[in-house]
Amino acid sequence: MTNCVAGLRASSAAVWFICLASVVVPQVGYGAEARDFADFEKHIRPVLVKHCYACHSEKSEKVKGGLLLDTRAGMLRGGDSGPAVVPGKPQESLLLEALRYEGFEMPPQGRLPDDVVKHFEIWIAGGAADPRDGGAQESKSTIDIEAGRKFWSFQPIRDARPPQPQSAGWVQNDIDRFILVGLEQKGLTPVRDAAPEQLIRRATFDLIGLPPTPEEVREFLNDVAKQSESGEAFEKLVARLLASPRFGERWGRHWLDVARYAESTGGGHNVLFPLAFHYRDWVVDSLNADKPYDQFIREQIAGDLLPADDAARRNHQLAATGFLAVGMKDLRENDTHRFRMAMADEQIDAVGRAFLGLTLACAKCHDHKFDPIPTADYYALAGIFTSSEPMLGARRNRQRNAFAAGVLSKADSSAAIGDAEFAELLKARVEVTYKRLAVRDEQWRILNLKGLKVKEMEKHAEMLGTDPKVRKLRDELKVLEERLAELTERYDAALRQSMMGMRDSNIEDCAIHIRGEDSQLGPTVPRGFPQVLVSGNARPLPSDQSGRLQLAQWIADPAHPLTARVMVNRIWQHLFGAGLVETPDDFGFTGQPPSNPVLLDYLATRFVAHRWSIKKLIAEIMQSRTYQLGAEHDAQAYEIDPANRLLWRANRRRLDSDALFDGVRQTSGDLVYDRPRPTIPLTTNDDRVKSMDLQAWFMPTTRHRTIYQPVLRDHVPDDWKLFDFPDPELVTGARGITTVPTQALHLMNSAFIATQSLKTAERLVAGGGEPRGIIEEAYLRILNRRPQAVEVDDALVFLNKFESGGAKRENAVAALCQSLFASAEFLYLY
Amino acid sequence: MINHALLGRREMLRLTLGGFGYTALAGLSAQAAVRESHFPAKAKRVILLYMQGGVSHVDTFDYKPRLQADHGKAMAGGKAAKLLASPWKFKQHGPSGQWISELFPSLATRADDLCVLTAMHTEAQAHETAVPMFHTGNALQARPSIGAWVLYGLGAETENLPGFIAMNPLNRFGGNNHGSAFLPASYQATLVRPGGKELGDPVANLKPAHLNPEQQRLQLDLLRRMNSRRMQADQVNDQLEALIGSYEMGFKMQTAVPDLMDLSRETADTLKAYGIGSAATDSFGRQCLFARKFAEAGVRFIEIGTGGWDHHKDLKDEMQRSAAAVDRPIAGLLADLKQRDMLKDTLVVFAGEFGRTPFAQFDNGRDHNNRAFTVWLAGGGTKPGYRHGVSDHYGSEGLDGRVHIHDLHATILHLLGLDHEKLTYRYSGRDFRLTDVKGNVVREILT
Repeated sequence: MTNCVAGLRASSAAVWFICLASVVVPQVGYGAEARDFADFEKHIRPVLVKHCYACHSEKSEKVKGGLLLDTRAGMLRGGDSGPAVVPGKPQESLLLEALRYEGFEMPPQGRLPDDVVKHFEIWIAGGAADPRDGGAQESKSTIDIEAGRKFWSFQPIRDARPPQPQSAGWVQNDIDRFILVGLEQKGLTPVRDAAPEQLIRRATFDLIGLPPTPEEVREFLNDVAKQSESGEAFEKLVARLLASPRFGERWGRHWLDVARYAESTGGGHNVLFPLAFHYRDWVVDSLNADKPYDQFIREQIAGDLLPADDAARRNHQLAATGFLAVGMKDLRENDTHRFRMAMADEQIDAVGRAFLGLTLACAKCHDHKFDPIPTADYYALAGIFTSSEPMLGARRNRQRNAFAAGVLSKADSSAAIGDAEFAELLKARVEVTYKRLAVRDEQWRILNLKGLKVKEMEKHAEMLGTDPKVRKLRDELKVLEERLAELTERYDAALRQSMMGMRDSNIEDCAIHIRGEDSQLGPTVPRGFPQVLVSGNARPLPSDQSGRLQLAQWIADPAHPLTARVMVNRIWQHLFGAGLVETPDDFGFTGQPPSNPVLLDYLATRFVAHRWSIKKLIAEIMQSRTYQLGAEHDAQAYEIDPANRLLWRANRRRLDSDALFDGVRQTSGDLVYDRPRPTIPLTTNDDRVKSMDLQAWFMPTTRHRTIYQPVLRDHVPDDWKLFDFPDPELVTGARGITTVPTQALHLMNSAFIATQSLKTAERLVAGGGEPRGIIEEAYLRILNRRPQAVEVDDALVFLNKFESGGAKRENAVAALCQSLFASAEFLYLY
Repeated sequence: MINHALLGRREMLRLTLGGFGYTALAGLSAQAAVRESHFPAKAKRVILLYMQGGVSHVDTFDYKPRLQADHGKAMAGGKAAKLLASPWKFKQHGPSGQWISELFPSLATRADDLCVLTAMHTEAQAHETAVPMFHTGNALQARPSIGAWVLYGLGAETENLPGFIAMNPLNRFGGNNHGSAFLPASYQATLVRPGGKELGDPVANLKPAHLNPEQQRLQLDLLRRMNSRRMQADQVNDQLEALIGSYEMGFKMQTAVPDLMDLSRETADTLKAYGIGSAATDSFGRQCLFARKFAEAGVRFIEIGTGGWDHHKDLKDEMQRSAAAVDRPIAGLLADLKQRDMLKDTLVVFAGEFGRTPFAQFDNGRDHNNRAFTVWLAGGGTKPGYRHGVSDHYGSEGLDGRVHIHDLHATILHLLGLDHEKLTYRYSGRDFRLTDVKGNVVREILT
């Protein structure tokens, strides 16, 4: 987040006058009579009054850039960017720079005439004589931390008692009480419960991201029929699904969206993260093991700093810190300081949004425009991350950012990659590069000399080889290349024994970067946490640790007002299609307020009380009658609450790209359930994504669940993007849902859908049997319910017509299956 | 009897039992709705001719007599590199007297249509940053393409074609040059291949390989009945309406796109005017003609393009070839637009990501120059036969009338009736703009 729109020009334009002063310009030399205040009164003050005071005086409604120009002291003190005027030094005076439209552009309405600007230059050069007195006012900070604490999401979580609705008989568990009261207040009643077929489909997709098999549907229907107590069969179903290893894959994918997980740096160079998959697998395993969410947080932020009993545990925790490392990196940035600041920024953004639902990174260049987060808080956090270093295992990383190529060695491995090893590899690579350039330049020189085309160098390779200098250079290159190959191989072997993640480095507080610029440093801020969320006096962080561990503990504290709320909201959203807070990554002032704040707090309290068990909370929510509602229309309720914020029925939710592709593949029998590892083979010296044969990389995993297929930045598969797979650059708590004709074309015509439909049909036809039976089984497999008579008849007519055109049975059935896959009932959860 | 006039779209959908493709529905995807511009627009659509690699301005549109005179001399400021005179002669053309080099003999006949910006600049110095900078206004982070912003701002006028089309996109430099980033995905470009039959479908998945037309008809009718039954059960379901609408549009695209891209009905004169059929100009000629046809059909933003302008070496031969490939097609396009009275509301933009140095690289090449380069516009409310901005006497830096990429973006939006400061999208807690916090409309070039 570097630039923000709510900048000076956009918001202040209205208060500037368009009319410009016309000034007679005498040609005056620098200095001399400028000490006279007359010059100020004549040429400077009127301009300041007319063009600057609206935004830069004590009387301004909102002081821009922290800059006050209505006193001499204020001018000398300057604003966020430094002194506005340095007497005698026009070149160092930001005011002049701004008037000249170099850097800042002031006034925003339009550059003042050259002669006016010239007068400022003369005046400053002459010593900036200024009769105005009055002390430099501290510009009014717009942030009031105390007031900020009153915002709902910064308030402690209240232990809400379930209310008493009138129709208590409808209630299945306490969650329903909160919902029902909300409905009753509007005079609404919930619709009927979902049919069992609907319910098993919904629950299965929700928990494991796959459809139920026909056997599972039959079993559930049997259980429902013979259950002695209402809800028994569903309870059993939920328990089975939560215990499935597929659960961690589904909910792991949800978390990877939040973790902006990808296996390459993105940006220029876009280099592979060959070790990122350890983190992905950690997520899946942790969710399957129902790791308490507080532990889940601590490991991701500070897994390397947590105690571990054995090597396996240690490796597991190291992998977790991949969360901080897998963000987008721009390896073109050669300035180490800037690179690290950018990385810290990305990490603050990810931690803020993912765990706290706060857009902390907005406070990088200025105080947060909306939330009570001053810039100082941002740099307090930045110090924690700049006191840590990423071990990215990203090899093609030349020059100064060598540390990005480092790795965390596994606890039980001796195949370490230290700085020395990497430096050697790097040196070899640079030598090869320069030698190649030397060969090329020499060859080009010769070609130009002979009047031959440089482009056709290859063609003349042999001729060029006869040149003694070229031959010598080529021989030298060969030696260097062989050495590089050897070093690379050794490095790769060590890489396989390594992890990607974070470790502590030089512990140092960070200085405020005024306006985010590394060239303008303000005071150093002690490492710490956002003030608005810290009560009492904050204890300073230890001087020998980065503070990541303390940050992790602070976030995972049961008393933290945001942590549990943000996570229960994410869980709720995945089960209902919309969160109680509809902006899952923004619980700040610009986010949406919760539709049912008491319920949110109730769930958060339960979550913490159940030792942060994600599975327990999911089970509890699914046991509510609210979750089990049907999706039918109700004219009265629709009139009052068309968006269904009060949950008078189930939302109709479109399958996301993962559920769609995995679901189709499972139905056709094509899906492979193993976990391929590692996702990324280490076979190449040049690990820029653009040098890869992507087809060859993706192919071996295409039948696996989508979570196990590679996610390379800027190379997310087109099919996934088409169905709104998120861009892995930013934390994404809620995916977009679009409906566009190119999706329709995919479901009508793609090779994927054609192949999968045919495979599905072949299984159906292989069982033999009459068309009627095939149709019933097709409905059961694809829509997870039996067809109605009218649907069977319709399909029979269709098969008939299709086959009468000469098509084979399996092709006709494939066409039927494809229609079912393309139908709303498959694409949506009802 | 049903009185159709009294029925809403929703009810129509529920009751209409005609064949697929006949229901009285407009495409319901998010892009379809035409939105009002902020103020009356001069241009209704944009055709961007993207010259990837960076066109050398000093060899094309920015004539530098001093460079010719000082050939072989060292640049001032201690640079070792020697100045390289343009190998091509410049002449003034038309009553407007635009300087254009002999690289563009056909385009030179349209000199009076061009509005040339000769002091463009950008921060980005490498293709990897400059190409996304040009397309999205941001060199590093994924941002919506200008086409996506335009579609977001104005909506689409088309019912059977997407509103933002990128033909022959060069995606080596970031995958996001034609994407929608945080804008809804419906605003992203639909990628169209200009190739012809042997190169596959012009749009991904445009044709079924596994069904003949009759079979698809049967199948889509079955699908429509399934979805109609569902709609009846659901009673009210906007998402399902949109889904049904998307199948309608997809179905129409299956024929509309190939129809539009069928050149067999074009006259020999038209093909010739665009250079279609001649080896050197065929590829870009087809793109230009398709662009005109898409524009005519109401597509809002069309990008066509060609690479190969990165002339670090072999400048004399290679640049001749690059220019020859586009010169006639572009002239053909401008003439055709004018003849159809479309140039007045179609903005044509000719640009690369930066320009090139006046000094030589490897004796016969030029390096990247982000401090001065030339972009020209035509039509859509820009001053014809006009020139804005001045670069220094070698063309290495802009002196006056400098136009940054943000300014160009602001100006393009302005011509389309959009205020670049008001065209915002709220995402992750703040309002984003194509021009970030920058950009000034270049008012001098507006008619």
